[in-house]
Amino acid sequence: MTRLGEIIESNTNEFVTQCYDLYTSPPLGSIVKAGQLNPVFGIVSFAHTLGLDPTRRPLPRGKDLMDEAEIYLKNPQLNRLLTTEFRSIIVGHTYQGNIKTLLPPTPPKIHSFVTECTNEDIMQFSYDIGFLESIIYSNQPQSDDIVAAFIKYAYDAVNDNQFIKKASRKLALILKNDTRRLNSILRRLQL
Amino acid sequence: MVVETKDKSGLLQSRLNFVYEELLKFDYQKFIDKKSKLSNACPWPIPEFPETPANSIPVIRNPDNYIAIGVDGSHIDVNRHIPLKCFLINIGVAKLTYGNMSDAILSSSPTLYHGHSEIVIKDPNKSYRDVPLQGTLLGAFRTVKEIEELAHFMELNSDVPTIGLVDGTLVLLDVLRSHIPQFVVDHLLNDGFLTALSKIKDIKRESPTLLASYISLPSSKECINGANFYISDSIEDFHIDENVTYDILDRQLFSLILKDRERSELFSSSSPAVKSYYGIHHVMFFYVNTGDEIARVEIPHWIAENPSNIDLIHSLILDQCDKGPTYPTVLMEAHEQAVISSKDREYFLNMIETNLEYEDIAFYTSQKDRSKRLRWL
Repeated sequence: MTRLGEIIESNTNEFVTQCYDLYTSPPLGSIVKAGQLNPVFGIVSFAHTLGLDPTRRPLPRGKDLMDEAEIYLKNPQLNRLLTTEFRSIIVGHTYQGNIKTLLPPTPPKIHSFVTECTNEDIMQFSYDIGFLESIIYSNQPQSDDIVAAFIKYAYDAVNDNQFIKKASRKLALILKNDTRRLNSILRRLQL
Repeated sequence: MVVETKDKSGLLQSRLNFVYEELLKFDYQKFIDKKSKLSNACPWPIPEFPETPANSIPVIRNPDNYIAIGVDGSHIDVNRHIPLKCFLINIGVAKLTYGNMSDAILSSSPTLYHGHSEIVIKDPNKSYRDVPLQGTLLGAFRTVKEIEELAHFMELNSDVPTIGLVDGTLVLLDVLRSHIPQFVVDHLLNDGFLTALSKIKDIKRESPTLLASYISLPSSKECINGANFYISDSIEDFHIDENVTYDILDRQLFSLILKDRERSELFSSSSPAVKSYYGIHHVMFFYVNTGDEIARVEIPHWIAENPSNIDLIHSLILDQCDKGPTYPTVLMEAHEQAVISSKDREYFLNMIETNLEYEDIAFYTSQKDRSKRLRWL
């Protein structure tokens, strides 16, 4: 699977990955795998691109150009001075060869390789989406978007019309006392 | 001081206009004749003037595909207040490839110099004699390391025009002062700086391999001296009014001569030391109006032998300034790679202290240094 980058910050709840290449963060809501031995799984919850040196701010460079891509061609140093990072909420780990949708006992190591997940890995997470409850109640500002994005991402991999129905029922159970929020997530799934 | 400067500004401007008008009707033969009568003892170096020194030359279109390599350096000087004598040099390089194969390499190479043999220059003929590398000499040593690193990067294969850019002058002034022993000049200039220039000169490629140094806000007066000498009735004492002429800089003159994005004709450096040491690398220079400032660009003589090289350097430097913006991008990025921040300097000192203590060597400092760090009230 495509290697995306390496972990540069880590705890038992989440990890931050610095991408090898600029603008190559995986989509919001997708699952990534960190580490080669007993890998940890995380759902991408946030991504950003910024200058490697916090004291140097980017400035507009394309005033006289027609095409945005030209800015990077004419300023090749930008690819070395900017970096893309993404944050992943940990939703599972491998224990004795099986994926457990639980937090890992220890955080993944700094510099662990972070890769895209295989379809098989995604299928494992799609059987029971109960683990999304921790994201829903995680106080993440965009947690509804992350949950909806994951369900759509998993649906693309599972390719089963029943999956959305099953997922919606599970969400209804998790959010049985908060119909406003449930509707908010379901509305996002219709897009 | 400010009032005095303001009072003088009108006088300066009228003198500047006068010099400019005289250069517009420059008589090359008169200049040559007059210069031939000038004694070598003349305290003001007079550069070689071209036939039309007030000419302003437009820029050619720069190639889409080219490589710009910038180099810059930074150092931590020997600290006499600590038990270890050592210094650190960090060389930053930015190699930017433009066009189809757009790419960037940014590199930073720090080197620690320690031990007597590394921090002095020894006289090869008198083993007891050496000169410590510190202060301005360390600055010159760093410049040598910069140009050697530039030569290394420029030797790498390329099939597109390549320009190597250095920040500051190509003239190693700190080495060419009268009190510097000959073996130091030989070590730094002949065996170091000029040898590295020769390496760049000897690079064989089908596409042009160019070298130039870029001086932002230059404070040179060589052309003004030349103009004053040309205008003056006297040969030896041509400083018409010291109060005025001492304050006029070449860049002020060329701000009248050069239109936006245009460059001056090529002048030849007049420094006697350059003439005697630089040989084929004799320093030539021109001024360029980047749109934001009048900058001075210096090149070795072998670059100037092909006039198309000068046009290409002119266009590439302007392209670099456009991308900067206002200052060549490669030099800016090389500087960013080279710079040693005050935090880095503090960390370096702490590292020495920690390592000495680890080896049970007492770390001491002078009371002066201690008082500066503690700043008691």
